[in-house]
Amino acid sequence: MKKSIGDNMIPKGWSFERGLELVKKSGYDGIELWLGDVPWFQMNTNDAAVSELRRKVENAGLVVSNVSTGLHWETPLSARDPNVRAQAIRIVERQLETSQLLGCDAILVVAGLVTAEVPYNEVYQRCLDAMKQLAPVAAKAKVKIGCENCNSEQRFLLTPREFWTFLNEVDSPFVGIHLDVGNIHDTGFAEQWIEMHGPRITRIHLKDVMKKRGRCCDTVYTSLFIGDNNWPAIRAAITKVGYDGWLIPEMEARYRYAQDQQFYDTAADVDRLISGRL
Amino acid sequence: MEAAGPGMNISRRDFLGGATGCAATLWSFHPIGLAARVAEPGGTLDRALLDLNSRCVLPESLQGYQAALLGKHNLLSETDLNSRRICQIAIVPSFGSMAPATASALTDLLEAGTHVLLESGAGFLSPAEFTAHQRMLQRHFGIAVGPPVDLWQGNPADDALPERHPGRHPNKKRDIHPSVPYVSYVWPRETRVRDFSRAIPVSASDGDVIGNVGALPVALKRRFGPGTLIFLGSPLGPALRAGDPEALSWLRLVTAL
Repeated sequence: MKKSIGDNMIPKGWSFERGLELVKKSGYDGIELWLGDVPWFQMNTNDAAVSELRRKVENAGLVVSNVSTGLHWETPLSARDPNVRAQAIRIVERQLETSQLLGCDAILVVAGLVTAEVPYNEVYQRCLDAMKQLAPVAAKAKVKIGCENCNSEQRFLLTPREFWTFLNEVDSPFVGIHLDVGNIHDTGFAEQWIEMHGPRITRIHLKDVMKKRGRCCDTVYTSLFIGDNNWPAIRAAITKVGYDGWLIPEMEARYRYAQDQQFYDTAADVDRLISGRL
Repeated sequence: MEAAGPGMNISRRDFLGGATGCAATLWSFHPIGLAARVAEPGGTLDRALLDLNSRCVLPESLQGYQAALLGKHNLLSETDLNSRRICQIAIVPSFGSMAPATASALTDLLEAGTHVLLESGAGFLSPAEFTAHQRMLQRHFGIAVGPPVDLWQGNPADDALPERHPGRHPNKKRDIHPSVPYVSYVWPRETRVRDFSRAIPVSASDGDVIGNVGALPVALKRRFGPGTLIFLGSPLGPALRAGDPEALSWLRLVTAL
């Protein structure tokens, strides 16, 4: 397995090049690029500029592990407004296009958002529509769409079986799951998701979660091994299903000071997970 | 002649049609009845469902009616529609605009005793497109409507999305759920159906109003010659597609009239 980390972790005010240097120096093999979340990679970043990003990544001795985006939180594929949905589709298409330019073969998509206003059954149908529409585009690009399990935040596809049914209905080898082992917390067990989805897992996001232990009993995301994820079970499940792809820590809680240190500490955590000495 | 408003170019709808058309084509929920089954010229159709293509703002609404009617309908294009083909009910899902000839054919059908269910899809049109929609309704059907009302504006929903963490997940606000602004129909029987975020208010006498969101009248029924004109300012089709049993029950009663 290989280690990657998101460019949205690069401390604010740092240049892309300086961030890449830190990512390489702290031991990662690749970098996850976040479309729309960082100044150097926006929807209006043209193809030439995207190719230049790839050159910088490769010059730093890294590769792009995947293209992710947080844009779908505000522009969901499940929106009622067809204008918003068309924009959301365009975001995924741009992820696929830039993946080709960047030389990677997977993207992360937040595939739907259940809200008080837009109910579950509508979201399900629209997401299914979107994925069926996008699957042939992904196949043509030879880039897999990984629908992320954002269980609590999306309120959508909350169980591994439900997610499995959704992917069955999409029925494309180019649409799978970008599994985040930290997002499951109150609704199940990450290791069971890994077992169920095995070959459909496009990438794995790593983070830990402290269940109902934060202030006012909130559940909070935290660094690996501090929280309640059962890491030996997760590691065993990864071995069981033969996953040998990218592991990408996604640290929601950031170091307030010595921010570069978080890259080193997290890389060491991922190495320890890969080693299985838990 | 239908007067096109200054902004009444169809590029936007064409764009939407293009963006969503593929999804509509691939849609797999109750695919029955996707092909038009047109009766003999001059014959009687039972239920006609009009596919306006790019003039239909929400293709999912058309799909909802198709699913709900279980294939027991005739799917017609605008060119298929003519006043010699009398039907019991003609349904026009989520229209944004309509060719003048189509509007005339519908009024002819009404004059011949057909019930016509006009569902507005104008909630998501641009202001210029809405103005044209408004004029068309007034000119051809005598229906006065106001601009779209955002039924969720100002609601402190937990999902009125989200400030972001330093990471990318939305901050969950407190789970304060506003009450859902259901559309309450009083005809043909009392039924509550989910809103569709934006509704087109209608101006009508109390006797004609058949549906409200709170105090806002959004649906009407009125005689139009021997026929009955039913106007929905809040799309029902998406709820049908989502399997809402109350929406389905409402439609079944209307189509059985």
